[in-house]
Amino acid sequence: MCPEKASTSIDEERGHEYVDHTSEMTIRVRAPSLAEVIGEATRAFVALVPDRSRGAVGRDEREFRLEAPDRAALLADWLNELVYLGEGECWLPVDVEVTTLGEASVLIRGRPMSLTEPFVSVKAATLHGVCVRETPRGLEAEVTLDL
Amino acid sequence: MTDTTHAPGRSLRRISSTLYEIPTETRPDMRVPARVYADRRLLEQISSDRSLEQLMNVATLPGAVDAVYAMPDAHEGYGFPVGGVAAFRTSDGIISPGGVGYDINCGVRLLVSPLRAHEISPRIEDIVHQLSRSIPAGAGRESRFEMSDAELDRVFTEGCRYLVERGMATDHDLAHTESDGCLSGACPDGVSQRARDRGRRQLGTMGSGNHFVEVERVERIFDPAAAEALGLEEDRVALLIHTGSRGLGHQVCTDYVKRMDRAMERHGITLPDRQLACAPFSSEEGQAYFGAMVAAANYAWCNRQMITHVAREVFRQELGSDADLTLVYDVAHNIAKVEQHGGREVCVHRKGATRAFGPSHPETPAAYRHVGQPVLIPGSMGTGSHVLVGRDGALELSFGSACHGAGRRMSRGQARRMQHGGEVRRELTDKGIVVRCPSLKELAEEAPHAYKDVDHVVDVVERAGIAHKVARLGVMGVVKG
Repeated sequence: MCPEKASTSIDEERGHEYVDHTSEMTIRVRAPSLAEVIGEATRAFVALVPDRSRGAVGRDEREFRLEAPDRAALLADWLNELVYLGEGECWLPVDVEVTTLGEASVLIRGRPMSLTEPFVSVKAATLHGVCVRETPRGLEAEVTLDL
Repeated sequence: MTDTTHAPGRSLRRISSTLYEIPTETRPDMRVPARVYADRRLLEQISSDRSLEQLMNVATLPGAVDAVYAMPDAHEGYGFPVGGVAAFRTSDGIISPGGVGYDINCGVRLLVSPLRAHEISPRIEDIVHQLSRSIPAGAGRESRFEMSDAELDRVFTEGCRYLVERGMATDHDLAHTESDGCLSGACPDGVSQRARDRGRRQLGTMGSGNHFVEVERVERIFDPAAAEALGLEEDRVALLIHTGSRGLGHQVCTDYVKRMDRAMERHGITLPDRQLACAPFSSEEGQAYFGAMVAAANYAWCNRQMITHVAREVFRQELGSDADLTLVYDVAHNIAKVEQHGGREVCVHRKGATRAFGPSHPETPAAYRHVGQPVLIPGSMGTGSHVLVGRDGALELSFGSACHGAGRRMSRGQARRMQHGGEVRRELTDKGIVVRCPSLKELAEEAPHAYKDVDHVVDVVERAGIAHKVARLGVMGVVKG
């Protein structure tokens, strides 16, 4: 399962890409800060929604406060939140505003895209190899999705 | 974190033509050896990704007994390799949600009809079409059977027995399902509201990915006596169903991976891969996960049973009352079960592996006590599937476990780059196979070339002495998830 459109766009500082895995899919994200890593990972996840499931941009904005033992777990927790929202509530954000509250604590505000059908293609974000690491140009994160 | 940079391939020792071993001494954190059922060709494919490293990681988990195993269809997963088997003492060993996987009790069931292939060939388009209309698959198709919380609780605790009461299962179905379609020890309170919400409208649905419902023809019989016991004859029409616990199981796994990840330090467990998050079986977290996993496993059996109910309706509507589908067997291939092995009580994790008990095992269903428990091995789309029976020796060889399919050999992206979905559809159509799939993209990702050769995988299982070939099924029509 890959995005329908070629949405991969990454350079040494910023962007996201989909890395091949025998049975699953790894998302790699680069950004200058944790808040932007979360934002970029959100875009990478939402790009997986097929065109046929996409509805209009809605007004049902939501706010999420997340706290985890570390940044990698925080990233996995957020993507698992998206897995639930896409499948359980047909709600996914087209855009997010992320405020960092602590080392692994964020406030996320999301402007929604309504889904015409539940997004069920991603089972979960796993902890397999999940990481958020410092690079000379910012942060690089990886998370493997179970498809 | 443990250093996992040891190249597993270099440590492999050939034990026999179908068994290789990575000794315990290969890595200081390994507690037991890692064994791989494969011949040279399959070993090469298995070694091409991180399956062996993942298998070695599993060998580090507390309470592991004898050895951890990779089946010949093994490939890289997350935490455990897919096609991995490991057993941990219940007294002081662990249970790991990642060792079961997100699709708890994903499994396969085989039904057989009294009809011959030529009797349904003229109607195969209509039958496949009606199956695809009646069994929700892919995104957005919800079940016609919505469940209240009270009904879900009965699904969790009673499994398929509850569906007998609802008129969707028979006593024969129960007797021909692994664990009679109901594991004991379910804890409905351990299933979160989110899991319930994801699963409430999904009973009787197939889901996406590699799930399917296939109309088959018994193409070849290898063992006539065993085939007769299973009700299989050459040219008979059969139905194969592959699905699991849907969003409910996925959420149960997510909830408990997170909970156990947070409890690692307290239990003094260090891991080479965070997705192996686990807890002692006897701990509060271990017991809570086990109870929730059992609930999700019972939900999965009900899911396959409800699809069976709908498929039976379709066959009767399309082909008349003579077309009744009789359940041959239903097996789980993502599950953790408490079993006795070598005089010890252990929790056997089968992640992409099928239970394969022989004729002498008390849990082999009474109807198959003289031949062994049926082992159902679906191949990749359009290449055929296999029916085997477990052998008594499998208990010693692999905790009574066999492979679960052909096993992926390339990523979805690679598969799509190799062949367009339209071309895959044409090739299947040229073989006379009717295909219904939500999108060409998903068809390309599940193309036959993305998988290992199922005939070869099954041959290795047989040569290793784990299970015995009974019949090969050829595909007439596929409804893809």
